[in-house]
Amino acid sequence: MNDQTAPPVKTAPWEWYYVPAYFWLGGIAGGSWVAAALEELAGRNDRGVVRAGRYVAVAGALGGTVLLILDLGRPERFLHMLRIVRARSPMSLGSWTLTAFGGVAGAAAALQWAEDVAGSRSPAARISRGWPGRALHLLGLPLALFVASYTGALLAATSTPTWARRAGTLPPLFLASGLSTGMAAVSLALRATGGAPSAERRLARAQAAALAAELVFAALDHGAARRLPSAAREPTAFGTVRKLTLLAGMVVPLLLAVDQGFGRKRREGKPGLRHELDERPVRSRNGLLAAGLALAGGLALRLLVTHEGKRSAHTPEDTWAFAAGRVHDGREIGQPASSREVPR
Amino acid sequence: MPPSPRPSPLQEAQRTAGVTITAGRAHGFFTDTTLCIGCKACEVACKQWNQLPADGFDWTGLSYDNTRALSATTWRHVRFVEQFEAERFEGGSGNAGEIPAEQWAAPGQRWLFLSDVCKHCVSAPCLEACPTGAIIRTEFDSVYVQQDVCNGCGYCQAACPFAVIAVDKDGDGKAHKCTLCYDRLKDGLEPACAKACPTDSIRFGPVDELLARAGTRVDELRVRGVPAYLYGSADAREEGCDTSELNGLNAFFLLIDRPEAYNLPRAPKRPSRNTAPGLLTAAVAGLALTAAMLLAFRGRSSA
Ligand code: SF4
Ligand code: SF4
Repeated sequence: MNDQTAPPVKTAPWEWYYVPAYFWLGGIAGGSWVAAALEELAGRNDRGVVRAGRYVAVAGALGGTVLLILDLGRPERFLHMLRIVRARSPMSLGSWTLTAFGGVAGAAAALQWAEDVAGSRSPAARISRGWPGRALHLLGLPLALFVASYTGALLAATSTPTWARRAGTLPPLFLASGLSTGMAAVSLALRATGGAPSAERRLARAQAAALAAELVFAALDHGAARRLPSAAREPTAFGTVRKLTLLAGMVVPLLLAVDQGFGRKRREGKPGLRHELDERPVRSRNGLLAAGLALAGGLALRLLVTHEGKRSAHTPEDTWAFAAGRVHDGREIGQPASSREVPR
Repeated sequence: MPPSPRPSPLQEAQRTAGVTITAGRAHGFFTDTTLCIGCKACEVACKQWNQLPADGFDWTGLSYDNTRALSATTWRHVRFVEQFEAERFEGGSGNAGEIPAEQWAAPGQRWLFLSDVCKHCVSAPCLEACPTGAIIRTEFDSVYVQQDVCNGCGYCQAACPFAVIAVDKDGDGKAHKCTLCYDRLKDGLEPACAKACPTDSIRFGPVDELLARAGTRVDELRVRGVPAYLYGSADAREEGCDTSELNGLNAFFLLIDRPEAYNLPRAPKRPSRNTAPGLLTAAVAGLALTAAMLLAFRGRSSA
């Protein structure tokens, strides 16, 4: 191709500070809802966790929606998203689900707020802690999972080669990242309001599980991305940032979260350390670090994937490889047409 | 004197293009790149009729084509495929090396032209992506953006496999592209570009008629030794081209070099093919991860 040739596909016109940031916030919102719901449904039911999860979820959903609206070319027409339902368009499905999730999370946050104001023995608390709150948690669970993951499918259902090639890995990667960042955000919120150490340990364990899954999906995802020519042209600095994200945003928080979530259990057999460990001042700081790193890693991941898409769309060879199709006349892809024998 | 009999209501398109525009029938363009002389009359006619603003007067510095690409304000773009010796592209890679020189029309150099436009895909990715329903299929089987509905989300721009539709970020913030002159068709006029084209490189008409004409033209050219083939008819498979995933293009092309030389993907994919698998993997991962989280939240907390 001549240098003046514009790329064969256009990139999405989204601003990095809006849409990838929304992907991140949406993941956090979904993940924190999962924290709140499972904390209650799994039976431990620490109300501090539920409370933090509900508040973070509604904040993430609202913040994300605001970012999405701001990115529209015509923000005042946001509601046009709710004119139709289109099953083929993740953007359409996502708009509806985000709206529904925002409603459910908003209702739960309202219940929580009433409980907070009226006190834990009030009728408001009974509703918030009773079956209405529980029903909301159940109802919101699939919505939360969808909000955290559909953005991967949204990227995959485009003509940007590197995204379209990763339909099987981007959604689970975003989901795992949403869960790990959600757990991290809830544990930070819990910390700020003085949560029970046992609750923090549960959150750390959940975060560790999510981070482990995230690492696996990130590896699979990178494997799929690497098969396109644009990956070979990755600038060194970009590669460094990617590796740094993997290391500091996933591996390190995973180790820290494992330590905080399982550390005590691991050393239970050594009674001599028991007293010392009960204090766990270092552990707690580790948890803080794990949460912070996981959150930053989640944002970096969304930005990296967005940037990879831009580079891929701007690399014509990616599109040629992606849209190569089958060769019908036995020639190799890329071999000039005019070297073929002219028919008749 | 009795009034002279009124002329029979003849559509203008019948005089200018020899076609009758009928609602309910698929209409489109057949762009024969071998006839194009690169005059850009279509580009200008499109700008005029659709009152599109100029895009500035920037020189690319690397090509005689200074339009570069289709955009929100350029709905026809005459692409110049300049196949010169590599030295003519100072600092540029050029694509001269890709074709043995002795096979070029004029030894040593050739220009190919492609008047690019929205393909009005039969299964249009932009339409399938649009969450507002702004993009519709008209009674002429063209793909049309309703400007009063589009909210500028830009998903169509990422979905189009041909870099056609674009959101006007500096303008009204809405997505724009070729309308197949929907307004003109309604009034029995052929699209402005086709009418302006001095060589009839751009032909407008019902798609089936255009396909028949195109087939004849391909045969004619091949007899003369030109390796012509069609890009965009649902059943043409030459050069490995396969637009069947989009069920063909209502605006299709006659090409004589491999499609990539014209910046066209060989076998464009339909982005919505990824929606269901993407959401399905998400659902499976969701179930598995929720189960794992459940264990994490349930496990012993003896601290
Ligand atoms: S070429 Fe692009 S803009 Fe035109 S109908 Fe097809 S997908 Fe839509
Ligand atoms: S930018 Fe407009 S036309 Fe394009 S997908 Fe969004 S709402 Fe539809």
